[in-house]
Amino acid sequence: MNPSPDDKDAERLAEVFLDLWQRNLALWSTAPERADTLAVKPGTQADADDA
Amino acid sequence: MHKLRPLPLHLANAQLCWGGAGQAASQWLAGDLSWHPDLAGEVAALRRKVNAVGAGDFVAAVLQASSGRMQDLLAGVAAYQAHPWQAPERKRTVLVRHGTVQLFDYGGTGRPLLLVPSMINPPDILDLMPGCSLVRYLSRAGFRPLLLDWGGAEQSDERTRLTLATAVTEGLLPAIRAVANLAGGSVDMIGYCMGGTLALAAAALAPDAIHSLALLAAPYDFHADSAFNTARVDAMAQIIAGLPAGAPVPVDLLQLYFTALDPTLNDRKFRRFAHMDQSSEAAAFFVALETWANGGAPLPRAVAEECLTLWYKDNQPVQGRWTVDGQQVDPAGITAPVFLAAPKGDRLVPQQGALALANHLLQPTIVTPNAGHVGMVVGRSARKGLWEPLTAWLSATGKGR
Repeated sequence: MNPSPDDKDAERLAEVFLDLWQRNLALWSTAPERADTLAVKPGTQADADDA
Repeated sequence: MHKLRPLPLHLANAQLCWGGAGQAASQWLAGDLSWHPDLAGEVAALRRKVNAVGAGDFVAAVLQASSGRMQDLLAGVAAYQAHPWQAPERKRTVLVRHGTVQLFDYGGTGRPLLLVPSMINPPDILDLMPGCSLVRYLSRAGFRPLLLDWGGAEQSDERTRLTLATAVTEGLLPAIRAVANLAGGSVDMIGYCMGGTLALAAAALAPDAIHSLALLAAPYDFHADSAFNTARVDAMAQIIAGLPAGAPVPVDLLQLYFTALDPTLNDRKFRRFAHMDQSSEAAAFFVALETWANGGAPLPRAVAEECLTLWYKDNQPVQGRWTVDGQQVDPAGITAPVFLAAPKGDRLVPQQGALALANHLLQPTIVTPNAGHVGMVVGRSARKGLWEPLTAWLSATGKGR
């Protein structure tokens, strides 16, 4: 069965998303400011115990 | 089997990216994903289109496509490991050996040229494969290339004890003397990457021994680029400090540093490779280059530590504070003509970091190839962007010899 036009759109947009998602990881992981923006913040007391 | 180092890191990076993509898509649609500001416009445009197709179909498509990408990555790595390409047999002799260093002589009766590669990877990037070799191009242009090999195929006490300073005094200066004997006078020297920075030091220490000096993507100002990341250098220094005392730095650890410059790069390269015609020239080139990039021997401990502290952290060369054998490395003392190549797309040695040396020299010849650090030397534009201008410059500096 051939994919419907909607399926094709979803596949195409998924590929665009994945490219953006990978670029996002690369930008955050190499950006000098990442330590400030992605600092680990304990969510709960239990998290803090494990941190 | 061709090596990819460190394999677990590359696989984990890919898994982190693609294994988490479906969840990331759901979080994004729920308004709970942190996008880098550089991507804001593209993300907003995508969101409008996703709204039109519906969240359910979109997330399902992301899950399927991300799984496909992981499979592609694994297929690319497996194809690379099993690829039949083997390094060509290189017709060259060993002119001289001193300590851990040897000089490969490509023969001929032309003007000798001393080529100094980086110590990180093998010297063969300058003679990668037929049709893709700066050394062979120079040879065909009538020169007699002598390619320095920093050694390391067999670990020895001499190599283990090397420092940046002794790499110059015990490695490079004797090589310059050997080539001077062959040339019957001062030496034409070409240094690539950190081999260029070491060649600069040798030229500054022995300016009378140098007839011309070409520096290809040689770092000089290590803080010139705004993306310079002190934290990454500190982290690497800490990791190395944790190795047993005096132990050399394994290639896998060095690769860790380069991978950190863009943890997603290997995934993109190897997924593309998975779809290449494996019998093509392009695939053979890919394997040759990756084999080189993943090759090499453990780096002497002091060399690694001094690269990080004296160069990357303290930025001593551009500040005039770097000393070798008690002497300041001062480019102003170099009277020979100098050629600087600083590629525009260099991510390992940012262009401004290499060009900074121009301010300390008398009228250097500067070329800025539209290429990256490695592509400048072996890429499709290498001939026009580097080989031809370098050869023309060498010919011009040799007139009257």
